Amino acid sequence: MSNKEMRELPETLRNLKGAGDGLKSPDPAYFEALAKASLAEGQRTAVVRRLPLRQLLAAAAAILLLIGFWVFSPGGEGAGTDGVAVASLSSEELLNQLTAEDIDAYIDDQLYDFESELYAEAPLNQ
Amino acid sequence: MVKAYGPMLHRHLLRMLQSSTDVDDVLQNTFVKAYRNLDKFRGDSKLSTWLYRIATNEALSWLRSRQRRGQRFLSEGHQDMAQRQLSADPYFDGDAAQLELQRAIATLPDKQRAVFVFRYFDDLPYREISEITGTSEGALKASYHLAVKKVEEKLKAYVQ
Repeated sequence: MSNKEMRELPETLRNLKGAGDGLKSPDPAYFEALAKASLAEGQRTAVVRRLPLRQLLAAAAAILLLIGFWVFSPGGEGAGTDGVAVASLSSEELLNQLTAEDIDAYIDDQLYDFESELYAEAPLNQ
Repeated sequence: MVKAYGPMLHRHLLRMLQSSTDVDDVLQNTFVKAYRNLDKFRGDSKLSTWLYRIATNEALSWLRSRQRRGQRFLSEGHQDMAQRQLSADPYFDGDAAQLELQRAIATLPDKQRAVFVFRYFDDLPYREISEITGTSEGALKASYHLAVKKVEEKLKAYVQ
């Protein structure tokens, strides 16, 4: 603060400025603990919320069953021209038709959630 | 980084938030964000300016969140409570006049409080405050002079 600005301060504030703010800093141990805690938190990787594999497989099977029901139901795409429904596949048969790649692809699609905190803090001058 | 800039930021945040419990959380958030984005710091400004900017943004967000939770204890009607809280804070060891000064500062709007604290206590040049807050120097000067008037009025009322 320049001398001119200091002179222009009201007297009370000018006098108080010399006395400081009445606040004190924590001891070095506080900052050592803070550094450790901040580092640990900063290095924490993105939180990936994983559903148990059983639940994922159950969900996949349910979706396939719904698709199967829609395809093979009377009047659906799989229905016969005479209106008689073609027997639908059982869930076990549907599951057997799934390849390991199909299941992996489904799991990959569902697994990840982004943590908003990881979006970059806007750097200066940008 | 924490050792070098921690005390400076702790003091700045305590002036802004006036509660060391809040400062603990906001200061850690500040260093976590700085750590995660250190590769984006391009050195166009001082490291202290960059850290001040993160800390100030974190403090303003914290204050907004505190107000949303209905904890705006620094409003006119609740200043006594704020004063008691600060006087009992382990990091306040000032006298009655300094406590009154902090009380007067607490009545300023959040952003204006940041400007006042940067200029009055830290003696930061307007150019640097402008970099930290993203506000023009002219607007900062006007805001600071208005803050000085408000604080002075509060202090006058206290003296009388």
